[in-house]
Amino acid sequence: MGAPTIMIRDLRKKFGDQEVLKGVTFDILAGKINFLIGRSGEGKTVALKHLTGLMTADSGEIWFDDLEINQATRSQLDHLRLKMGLLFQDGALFDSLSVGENVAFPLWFHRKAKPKIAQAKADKLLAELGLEGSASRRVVSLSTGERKRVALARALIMDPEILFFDEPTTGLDPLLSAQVDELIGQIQKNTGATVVVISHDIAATLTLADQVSMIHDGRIIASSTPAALRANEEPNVRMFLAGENA
Amino acid sequence: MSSNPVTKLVAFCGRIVLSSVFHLGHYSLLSIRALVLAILPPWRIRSIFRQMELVGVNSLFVVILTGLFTGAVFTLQVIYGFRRFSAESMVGPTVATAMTRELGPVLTALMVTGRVGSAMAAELSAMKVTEQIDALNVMGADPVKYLITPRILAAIVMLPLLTAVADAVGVIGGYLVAIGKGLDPGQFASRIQDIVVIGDVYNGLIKAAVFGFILASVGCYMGFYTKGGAEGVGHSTTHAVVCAYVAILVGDFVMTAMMF
Ligand SMILES: Nc1ncnc2c1ncn2[C@@H]1O[C@H](COP(=O)(O)OP(=O)(O)OP(=O)(O)O)[C@@H](O)[C@H]1O
Ligand SMILES: [Mg+2]
Repeated sequence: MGAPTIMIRDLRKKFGDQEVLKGVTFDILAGKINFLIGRSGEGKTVALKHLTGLMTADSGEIWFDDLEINQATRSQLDHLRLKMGLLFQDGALFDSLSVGENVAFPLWFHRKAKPKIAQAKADKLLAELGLEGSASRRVVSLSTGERKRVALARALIMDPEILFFDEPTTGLDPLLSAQVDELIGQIQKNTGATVVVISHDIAATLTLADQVSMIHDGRIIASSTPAALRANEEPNVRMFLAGENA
Repeated sequence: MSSNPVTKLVAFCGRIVLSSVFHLGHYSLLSIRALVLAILPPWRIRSIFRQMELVGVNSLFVVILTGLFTGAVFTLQVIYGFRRFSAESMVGPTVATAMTRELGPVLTALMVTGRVGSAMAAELSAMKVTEQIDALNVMGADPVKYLITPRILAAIVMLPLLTAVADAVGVIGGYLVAIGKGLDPGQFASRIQDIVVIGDVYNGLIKAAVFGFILASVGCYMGFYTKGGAEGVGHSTTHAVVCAYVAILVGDFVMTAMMF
């Protein structure tokens, strides 16, 4: 099986009285780079957590090809997760492990590689992200931008077919941002993975994306190519693009 | 909602009952799952040993101190009482029975709960609020198997060992006090062998294993279901200690009634 298409249908989620997702419907294109944009607090991270099965919707469906994850058995879900990589917005690094152990953790846990080989792979990924020689550092000693890149390396190490990045470049300097953007593009090209990126970086979104979806007030108000998004007349889309460009 | 105080009271009690049933159900499910996963491969022997080290090493010193002074103070009280009936020869056996049956297991469990059960709750709840548990889930690494099972197994193994230490140190403490109070040292020791049966010791160690299960499973449960940031971490740590204390004392009563 190649990288899957993900279809989200009428996803709804309330936290107490606060209705965050009010019927989210859109498709994530297989083997493409899909961006999800929207203002802070609109529910992008919440949507992503539903896609990865970390949150359960009040109602609605999420299809990975022909598997609906709310009806999936635990072993089906585990199987799907072996093909997923997720970069958490705040990294979610294991602070009881070193940087190198964090990155190699998925390989180690699933016994996919001998410790030496896993560590070598981790070192290589860290070096690509400008963190050579950091493998033995403690997680608590990392800066925000370093954390982000370590978490990125951990998300990539299993060569997943489905990649979710929650704001991969937030907190990075412009040079590093460009480097990470380029890396994401490269990985997608090399592996043909289905990639979902949440971002506030409009410039990167419009250049990197194959498809951009915008969430506003609990719904997807636009889902199109970057070119079509630029031409979109929806006032909220216009305002968002203009605001971020200014 | 009515403002009638009676309906308010009923609603309040109802909420408490509902939430107790809810937590008891979730707690049972989590504990059972952790134990079932202990049997199923793959086994992670190394993380179990790591936890055993943490439970044992972290608690050894406080357990020795607790055992020593408990044995000593208990002996003081017993000597005071038994002198009135000229029953000094029974001081040794009384201290040894009390230490092995009750004081050793219970006080060790309470001390280890304070040191280790609370640390488990704090660690797991910090992992929860920083999404590390979500990260495990999304990597297909079952957090119950990876985090909770080794902690529970380690506590089940280590609590009897620590209790044995507390028993021994407690009797030694009692012995020293007895000598200091002018009792015959030979009598203190020899009567222990005559009267205390090995069953007393075994039953005490079985209790200790159950207490180990309780303090680790309660600590992990409280940590695992933490909500809401740093404040939540504090709450879950406190709850873990209080709930484990109560469960240990109630469990002690039930087991004592069944065993002796
Ligand atoms: N576990 C939760 N419990 C209660 N409310 C939550 C929870 N997770 C998210 N929310 C609420 O859902 C809303 C959307 O949050 P979310 O993190 O998805 O925003 P976002 O679009 O990712 O924003 P940002 O760009 O700032 O990361 C917020 O108002 C948040 O308070
Ligand atoms: Mg977010």
